[in-house]
Amino acid sequence: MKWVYGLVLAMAASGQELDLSSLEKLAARAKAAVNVTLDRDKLGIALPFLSASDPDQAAVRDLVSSLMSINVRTFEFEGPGSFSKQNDLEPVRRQLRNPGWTKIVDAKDRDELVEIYMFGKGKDIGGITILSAERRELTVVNIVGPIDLKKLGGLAGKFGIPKDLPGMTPPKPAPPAKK
Amino acid sequence: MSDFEQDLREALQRREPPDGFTERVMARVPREIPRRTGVGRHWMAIAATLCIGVVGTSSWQIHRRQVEGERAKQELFYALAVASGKLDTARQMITR
Repeated sequence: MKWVYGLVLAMAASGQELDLSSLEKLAARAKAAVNVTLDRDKLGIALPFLSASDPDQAAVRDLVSSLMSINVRTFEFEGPGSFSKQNDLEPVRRQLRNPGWTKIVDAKDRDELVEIYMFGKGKDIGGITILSAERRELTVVNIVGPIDLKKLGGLAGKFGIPKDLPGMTPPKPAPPAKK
Repeated sequence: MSDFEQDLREALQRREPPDGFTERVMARVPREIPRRTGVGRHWMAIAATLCIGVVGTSSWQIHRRQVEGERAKQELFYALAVASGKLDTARQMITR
């Protein structure tokens, strides 16, 4: 029966899980590269280590308990122009043009862009993908499974992870209010 | 000297053992203390080695599971921190 369950999970995740192997070539050009792949098994290993008494960790447990995988690829480059926001991301974007994916955020500001794609319809989010590109940094996040974006956004800055790690761009200060 | 002292002196005075006492005692003492056979000692050594092996392996597996779990937790925190940070960046860019 276990293999049937596995097969059902694999079929359910087949559309949301992106092939990020095209990004691997960027690691050779990057100053720093981080590859985090948390499949269902690894998420299962991590979950018992989340403290139930810590509200932040309890929130994480609640958020990820039904996820199938989380994949993060982050590259930090020496200087601008080390990667192409168009060409290097095209293999990923091509997969995001498949049925089921919808672009819900397309934000651009000077050299920075953030695109957020959602898999599913309405409130039934089956996964999200975030593409983020700055002058010297490229980040792709692919989360497979039902995810609450509001809860995920609420976790920002709650993990005590050093800000100098690739992908951990400190939030920019809000612009001064216009008088 | 009182009667009591007299009685005590008589009771405590040195008496020689009866003839042949030493020989009879020595005859009852076994000539060799029975020792464990070599086969028994081997089994004990094997059992002790197995016990150490089982305890060592299970301790190592518990330790390995803890290391893997902590590592997976840190990776999970990192992944969620990056994801939530990027959502926050997008929100800021939209509201800018």
